[in-house]
Amino acid sequence: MARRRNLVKLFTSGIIENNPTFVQLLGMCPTLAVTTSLENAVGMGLAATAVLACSNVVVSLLRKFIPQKVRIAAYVVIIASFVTIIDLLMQAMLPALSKSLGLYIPLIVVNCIILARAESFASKNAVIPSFVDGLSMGVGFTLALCAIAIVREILGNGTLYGFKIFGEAFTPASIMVLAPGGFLTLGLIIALVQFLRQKAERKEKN
Amino acid sequence: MKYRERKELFSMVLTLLVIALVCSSLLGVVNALTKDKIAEIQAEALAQSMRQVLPDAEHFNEISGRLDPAFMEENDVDAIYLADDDGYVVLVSPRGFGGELVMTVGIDPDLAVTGIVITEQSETPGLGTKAQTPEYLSQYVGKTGTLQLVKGAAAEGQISAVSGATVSSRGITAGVQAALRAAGNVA
Repeated sequence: MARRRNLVKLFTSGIIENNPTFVQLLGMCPTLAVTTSLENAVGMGLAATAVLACSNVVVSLLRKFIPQKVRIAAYVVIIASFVTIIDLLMQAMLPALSKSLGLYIPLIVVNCIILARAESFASKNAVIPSFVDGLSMGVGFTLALCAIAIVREILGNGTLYGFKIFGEAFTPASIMVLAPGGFLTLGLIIALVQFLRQKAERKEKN
Repeated sequence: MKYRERKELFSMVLTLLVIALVCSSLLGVVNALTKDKIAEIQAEALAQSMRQVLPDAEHFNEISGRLDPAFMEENDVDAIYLADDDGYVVLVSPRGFGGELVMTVGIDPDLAVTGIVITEQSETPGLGTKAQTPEYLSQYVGKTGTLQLVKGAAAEGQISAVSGATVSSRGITAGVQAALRAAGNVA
């Protein structure tokens, strides 16, 4: 029972208090690049989650065999292989999604969340917790991407998941789907998350 | 070199070698399994875009060999197909704002544009993509000879660029112009 409770705690930690995007500030480049629409955010998030979970499992399985000095090189090879496999499978089975994510899928290789979790968690923990950690970080990343994308897509394009939600009178602020809008939204959401975290901490102390 | 050091070096090389071998064979298997399916999807997308720009045509025969390779290189023309008496379909990939715009352009036997389909693009959503709406692209239909892209309202025979998406508009115009030239060269 205690073990299961620990796994649940591990799972929620990646989504809330250790959220990779808003708290650890990892993987900013794909975060800013794909959050122009909710559809891209969901696709990128799920693809990254799959790679995270798989690579964490494999790194954890191999953690006793990989010599310290070459561990990073080994992780990168493993991650790159998973990304390529997922890229090929997506092209074959989900051509529409693969087309809209295009360039970003190969970029998962250099998404530092994945390498960071391999290095700081999977290489030191057993397979099941590593898998849970990968899933949790992946879900946290996906939710964070969605939060940013919802704001940017609504304000910048007047749509949500591709559907028009305002009448013709609404003129979207294109800056929101451009890079500056990405930074603005990201900064404001991080500030909000930090504010809520500090408030919760203060409450705990009192 | 001491025995321990040599052993360590050996184990490093061996581990990496094994990992790389396993990964590359796995990639080989996945590639073999998906290769045909991916090629099929791409061919289907291409065929669909060609049917869209020349709805009456039934057979498309590639005649890219009739174009000068230097001309194709210079004008970003990828291929040209002859659709019997219905005209030509030209595949072009001019530069847009965010990279290549892959387009399929239909041209009738009188060398006027019949339709445009953009198959791949990476323009800015909400800006560059405004130059891909059916309303914008319909401006090219029926145009022939040298295209004139203008900012603001277009006079007869001109094309009005989308404000805020000038580079994308220019890219599409360059692509259509190249397609018209290519069709003119083989006609």
